[in-house]
Amino acid sequence: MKNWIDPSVTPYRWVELAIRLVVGGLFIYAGAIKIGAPMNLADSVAAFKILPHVLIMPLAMALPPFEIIAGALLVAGYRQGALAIAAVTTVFCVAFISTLARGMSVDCGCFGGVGSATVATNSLDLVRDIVIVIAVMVVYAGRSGADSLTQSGNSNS
Amino acid sequence: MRYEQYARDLAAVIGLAIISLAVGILVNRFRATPLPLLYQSPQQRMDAQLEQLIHKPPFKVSDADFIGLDRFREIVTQKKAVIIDAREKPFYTDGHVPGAINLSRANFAEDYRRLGPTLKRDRGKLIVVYCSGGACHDSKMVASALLSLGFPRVEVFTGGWEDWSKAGLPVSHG
Repeated sequence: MKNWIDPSVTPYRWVELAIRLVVGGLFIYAGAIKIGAPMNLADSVAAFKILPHVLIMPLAMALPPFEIIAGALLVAGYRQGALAIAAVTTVFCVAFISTLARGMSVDCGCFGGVGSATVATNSLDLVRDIVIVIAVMVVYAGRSGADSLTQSGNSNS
Repeated sequence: MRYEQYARDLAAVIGLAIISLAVGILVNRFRATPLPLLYQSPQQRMDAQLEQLIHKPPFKVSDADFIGLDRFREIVTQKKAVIIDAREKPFYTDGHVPGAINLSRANFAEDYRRLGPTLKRDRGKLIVVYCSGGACHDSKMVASALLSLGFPRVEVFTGGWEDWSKAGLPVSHG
């Protein structure tokens, strides 16, 4: 049986392209709308009650540029972008699991919004993030062994 | 070797995180008002802003009375009170309760300097404050700040913008 995660398989290449554009674009968008309002993001990070105060502002300042660069790398076809997004989204998942386990609900500020959150919306946030991690790991797995997705396509042509 | 590649990729992600932190700090450095590197809670920030206006010890939240949608709608319809939207300006501009003025928690000192004379003219009038709704605290903080500033009748509409817009009630823009 042929391995489905194989850049030489045409359907996989289309799926991979879709993941790169959708997830990469989503991260560029999420980072771009948050970079102008780091205080809102800092308030959301603080609401999770996980990080010590001293780390909240550095994280709120670093996260938007990280999302923009990682998203751009993924769209451009660099597997490191996929790994970066998988890493940061896994951290988000752990944060959501932690809040749900404590019976809390936190507006994550993922897309810069300010509003209310419930256990149900946090559960949906967690599901969305798990889907993102799986999707980008599919891209990363298909691309391991080459310097970029573009090169992979060439190597199999 | 695959493991060497994984290690290199992981190192690249760590490098990306360090670069992002540097970019974030640099962007903050060139802001009109750079943010402090140590986090301050909304209430601490509000205290700092309030201290610019009056020399009083930090105020306590929850002195104001809370009202529901029916009572708030009645007050808005009858134009019996000063309605204050405590959300940040972009949210206010996007849509607010008709007749509401924008005295945001985030920009309280500056907004109060602008709106203070108008509010002081109607000092005895009822003031009702709202924010996003749900778990938002901005309305309570602004209401408490107004009580500290000597306004005697301040209430909070806890349902906020969320309840007002969900109920399909009139909306003003700009």
